Amino acid sequence: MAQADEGHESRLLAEMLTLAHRLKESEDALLAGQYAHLHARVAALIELRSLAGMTL
Amino acid sequence: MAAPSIVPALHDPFAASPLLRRFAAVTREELEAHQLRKVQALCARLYAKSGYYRDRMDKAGLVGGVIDSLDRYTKAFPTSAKADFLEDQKDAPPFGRRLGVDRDEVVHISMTSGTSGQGQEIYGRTQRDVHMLGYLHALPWYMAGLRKGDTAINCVPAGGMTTGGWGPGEAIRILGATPFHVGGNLSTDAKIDLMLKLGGIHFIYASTNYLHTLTETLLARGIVPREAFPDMHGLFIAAEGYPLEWAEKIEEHWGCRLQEGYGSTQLNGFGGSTAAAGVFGDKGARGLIRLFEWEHLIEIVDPVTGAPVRPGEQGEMVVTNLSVEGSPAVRFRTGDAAVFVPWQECGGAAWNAIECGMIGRFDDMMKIRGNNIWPSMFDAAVFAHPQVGEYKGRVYTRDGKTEVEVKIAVAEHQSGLGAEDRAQLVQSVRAAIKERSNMWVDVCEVPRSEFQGFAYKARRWTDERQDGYRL
Repeated sequence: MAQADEGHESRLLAEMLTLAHRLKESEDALLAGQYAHLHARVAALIELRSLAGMTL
Repeated sequence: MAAPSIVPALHDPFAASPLLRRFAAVTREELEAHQLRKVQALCARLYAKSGYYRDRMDKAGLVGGVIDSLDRYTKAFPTSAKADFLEDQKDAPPFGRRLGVDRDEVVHISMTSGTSGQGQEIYGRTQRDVHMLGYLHALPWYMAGLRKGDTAINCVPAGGMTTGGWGPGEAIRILGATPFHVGGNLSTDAKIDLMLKLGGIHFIYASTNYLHTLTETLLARGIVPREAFPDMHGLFIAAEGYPLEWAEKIEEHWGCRLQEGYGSTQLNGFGGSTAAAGVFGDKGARGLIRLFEWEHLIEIVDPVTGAPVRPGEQGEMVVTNLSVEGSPAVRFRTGDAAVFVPWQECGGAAWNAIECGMIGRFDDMMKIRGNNIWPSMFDAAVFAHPQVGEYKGRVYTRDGKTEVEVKIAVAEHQSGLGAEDRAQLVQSVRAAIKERSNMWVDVCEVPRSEFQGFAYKARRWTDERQDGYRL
């Protein structure tokens, strides 16, 4: 069950990273940095789980 | 007085942000409808989650926290002041009953500086609040021209438990610029050495007083800021008033536009700024701080009656946070005094404004010989003289009469001033004070070294009158 949850979280994070990446491409200069910040946070969450093989 | 022509105009900050363009295009009606929705949600949430605000709403007849109009809200919702928050904290430490979120949602602390001497307010902020803390610093700096890839010098001491300690770091990060948080870590000379090593610097954030100190020290070292830092495109100040003569000199020395913001712990950052327009208005007038009214509801009221002041009048700012979750300020009496300029007189956008360079404190007001005197009056008179580096004032009693003493120090870069010029300067400052305050005061010159520790947030005045009443 726990493994299934972890897989689900990994998929969610991967989806979020894709979405955040799309936001990061915004041409709105006020928002672009904030989206980049969001993207980096999601990327960090994926990275910190990597040792346990939780990334996709 | 017009802005010095040496300073290039900023590119339109709204051009690069469709979001800001939409904010600028909303009508007053749309803005107030947005404010009402936010106030309704805030009051409903606080009625459920905050004993402090629930009690106030019940007493005011706002049963269930239901607000049907902004008019009813501003007339019925009781104001709070610093003393109320301190009492609340004392009754239910550490955050008081006004917190409004679950205790385990608090991930960040903001405290007021305590310079009033009454005590420090404590605010518990959530994860979302921390982002907003950064955004509410980033927003005016973006408008002032700070961009991804820029190098920014933050002269305000970083970290600790103040809003001003954390906001700049979060702001510069989410704008994608590179920060050097030099405030509090390095002496002014060491800051300058670092800035010279870095070379390409684009933006400085400092208190009014510290920008003055930094500029004065640069000039004393024979460094012309606009030559040493040719990439600089924005200077942003907050916290203290200043005369326009000073602002003109600053822009001339740095070769770039000076911008100003109004912010506070209670606002979780800035509540307004000069955007890209600078501190100079039309025909010698002061510029405008446009209020971020979609983030805060800011009333400017008569401090005695509580009624809204008329255009052009000075009033006390009463603030309500529209986007803060933890420890929100709801109709909080700031004690800050500002001149109200309605949106119709601001030349575009539906945001109200206050005059820049003139924000004072109602509780700093001194009653001297029957006159209402604000330190900002003296600031304007003294700093209209570019030869003056700093000053301090003292109100005291001598032989039963109230006396005022002003000590001035000549700026370091003016140290070559001769005795005759110094005597003339003292007389000129005295006359300028008389002109603005209608009082003759004692003015004398003292060494610049008497002003150590004045760099960040000047408290220039002491009132020793009670000491003079000892029998």
